[in-house]
Amino acid sequence: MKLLTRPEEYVMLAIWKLQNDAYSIPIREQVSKSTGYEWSLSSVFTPINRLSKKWLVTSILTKPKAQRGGRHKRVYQLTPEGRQALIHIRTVEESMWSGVKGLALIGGLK
Amino acid sequence: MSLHSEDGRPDCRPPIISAWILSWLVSDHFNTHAGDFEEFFNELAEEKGVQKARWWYRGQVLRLIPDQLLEKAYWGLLMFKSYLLVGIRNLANNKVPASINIVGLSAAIGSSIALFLFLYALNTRDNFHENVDNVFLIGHTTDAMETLPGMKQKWGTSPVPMGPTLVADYPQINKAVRYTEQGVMVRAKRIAFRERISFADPGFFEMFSFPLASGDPSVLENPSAVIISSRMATKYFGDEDPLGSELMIRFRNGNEEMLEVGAVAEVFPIGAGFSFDFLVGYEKRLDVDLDNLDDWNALTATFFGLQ
Repeated sequence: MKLLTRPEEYVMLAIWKLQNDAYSIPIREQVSKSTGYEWSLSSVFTPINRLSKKWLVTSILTKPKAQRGGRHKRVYQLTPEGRQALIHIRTVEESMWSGVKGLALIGGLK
Repeated sequence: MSLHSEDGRPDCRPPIISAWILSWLVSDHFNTHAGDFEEFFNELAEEKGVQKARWWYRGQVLRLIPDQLLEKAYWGLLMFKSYLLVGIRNLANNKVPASINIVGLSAAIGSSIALFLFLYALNTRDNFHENVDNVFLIGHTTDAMETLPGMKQKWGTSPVPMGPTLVADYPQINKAVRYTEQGVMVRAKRIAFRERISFADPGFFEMFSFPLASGDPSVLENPSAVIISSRMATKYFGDEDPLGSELMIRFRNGNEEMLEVGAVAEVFPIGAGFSFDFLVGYEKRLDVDLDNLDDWNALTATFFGLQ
């Protein structure tokens, strides 16, 4: 299986964490908070588009809200394949990082 | 500042042009991207002011353009592929109706192309002559006699002296060119062929814009010169320069004359209604088939131009 790219991985993790509220704005907030720099909305859409093409992410529509100019909201969900891909990349990363010395987390392990 | 007053209508709106670009770029039926942008815009407007939010909105839309264009192309191609597949399957499933349709449509397109080309050729025929609007052919109508009893027949011929007489008698006719063709034998060195020779008055090249590759149109007045077409130049002289070469021409009455190539025409433009292979002056007819040029029984084609 081809590995996910970093933005794809982060966006998918954010979707997984947000569960039923995973639409672009909270995803953006989540990813910005974790990475420490501002992601633009369009840089969130790019990996999401790519993921939907690979069928790792699907979406459902919610009812329109006045706050959004009367527009629907598209909430994303991981597909079973998407979950598999996340598990796969986690396995890969953990095996890559295992046994690495001299690269301690900032402030040390807590 | 409240963005959503009591009646539910927002007090501020994102920039119109950017919003329009966004709705065009993101071909999503429910316009969810626009909704996301508007929600974020509203949050930002509350936090940092409307102007800042508007600039943010413009920047975001601008940044979205390349990616969304690719996205549009991707889905467009994907749908095209799918339509193509469905089309091919439909053809395969309905072989007889499909073949009838394909054959019928091809025949229709083919015949309309053929018709168009035919009409185009017909309508642009002889259009390359510069004063094509001022060239007239004298014709005459006769009873058809035995072939079609009671019908009239049209001919493009007129008596030989008619052209000069018209120019002399009618001031509004300022030039007349007589033109006649005849079959002859042409020999150059060791090759000989049956050819068609044309006789024309000196005004021929003023009336018709047949370009000359070499030589001068005035050689038409020289009784020992002949103007040949580029096709004939290749046929008789190959790659050599034919200018000044000699051609032995045997006319229908048995006269043989040695004529010098005085000019070579360029390849005739496509759509030339008539053209010549060998062209000599009209006076040459005196040596060949006419005793004098005042014979009203002798026929020729006469073109004339008006002032």
